[in-house]
Amino acid sequence: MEAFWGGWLHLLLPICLLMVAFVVGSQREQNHFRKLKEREYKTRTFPTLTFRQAPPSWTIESSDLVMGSVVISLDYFKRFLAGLRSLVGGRVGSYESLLDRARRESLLRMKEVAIKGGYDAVINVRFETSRLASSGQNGSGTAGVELMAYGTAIKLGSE
Amino acid sequence: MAQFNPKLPDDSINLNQASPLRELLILVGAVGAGAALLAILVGFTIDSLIPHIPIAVEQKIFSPIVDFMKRSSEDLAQEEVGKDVERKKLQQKKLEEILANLVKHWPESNYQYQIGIWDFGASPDEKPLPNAAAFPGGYILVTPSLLDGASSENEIAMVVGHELGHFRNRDHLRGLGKEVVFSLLLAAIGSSGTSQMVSTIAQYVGNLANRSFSRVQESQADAFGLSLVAAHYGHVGGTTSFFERMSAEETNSKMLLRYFRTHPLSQTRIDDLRTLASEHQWSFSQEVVGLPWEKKRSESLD
Repeated sequence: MEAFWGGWLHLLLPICLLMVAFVVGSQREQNHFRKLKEREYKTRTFPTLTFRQAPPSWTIESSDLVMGSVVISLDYFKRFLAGLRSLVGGRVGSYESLLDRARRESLLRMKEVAIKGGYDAVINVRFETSRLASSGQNGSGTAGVELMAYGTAIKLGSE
Repeated sequence: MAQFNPKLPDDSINLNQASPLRELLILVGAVGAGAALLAILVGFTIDSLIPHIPIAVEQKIFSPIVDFMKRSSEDLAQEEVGKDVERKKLQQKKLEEILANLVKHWPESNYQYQIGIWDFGASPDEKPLPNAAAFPGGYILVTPSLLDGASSENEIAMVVGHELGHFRNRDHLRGLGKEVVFSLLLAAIGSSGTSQMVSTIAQYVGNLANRSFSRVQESQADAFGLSLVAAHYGHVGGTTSFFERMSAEETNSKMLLRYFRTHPLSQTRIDDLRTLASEHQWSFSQEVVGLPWEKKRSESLD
């Protein structure tokens, strides 16, 4: 009987964890997407450009480096789903939404820094990604991913 | 500038719109089906390869392991010096006698059998289980608690006959082969960087598939054991008592367990034995043979 429950626990515990991770994770994800949309709408008129140089007609008073960075990690459910996915290959949907959130969040943070600093625009916007190794699995595991958006914030002079 | 009121771009293309739960179900189903297929394939391959291994080769390969196990069990027996030495000697003698008697009725057998008493697989915090096992190379092990709880020679003979049935079908090799190959496959999957859970699923499904085969093998071994006992003793009285003992312990675990078991439920085994006996008109009602160590104990009590 003990062996029986031991065997079931081995399976039941991960299933419970999966269910909890799915419910909590998708709730939080939906909330985050809703907030992202609101913030994006608020900051939509602030110019963020990928041009390396400001258009020649702009008179630049001052410039600064601005950045927004996010560190994200997987939840149990997404990790499990991606693990299964890596066996058969294909679109890893559970990571797509995660990285999309991180990308948008980091860009928004950068924009908000620029707006708060009284800048008029950010040019030369770039994204950087780096993997944080986990101390488990001899550093081959992934503890999380950092996504950073940065660019040159500029203040325009009044002509 | 103030009239400019842009809309946000629609970037939903970056998001997977499908439900992750559906994806989970499909993937788990696919991996489970794959593992089951793999287990069946491995089982089939092993089953068709095993009969081609000559018994002499098997005995040669496994003789060092058998010798090692024999020595370990004897060393352990020596440590338990004291009152039970005499009793254990009697038990060992009886086992060898039963084995020789049964093998006589199976002349095609090519194995050099050895039999021993050892509480194999026992952990200190658990109650010792009455059990017996067939090991590659013709080695049979019986646990002390099986012998101590036995009520007759016929009961023990049935267990030994069952293990001989495993040798006849070479189930011991099949089991070992499947386990080795399947765990190698699992290790290969595990090292491919997928999560632990994926391997766990594959392992579960694989085990389930293997166990249903295993239950069929156990039933066949039961039938063969019963025929040996009937041939030697002329009747099959006492053969079900071991399963009756086990059945009493199983009562609280119920049918749900059936699919997780390597052996059929004891009650099923008893029923099968009874059906088989009535088909061959083997009688259950005749006198069973007593055990020498039990006699001794009751004498010393007087």
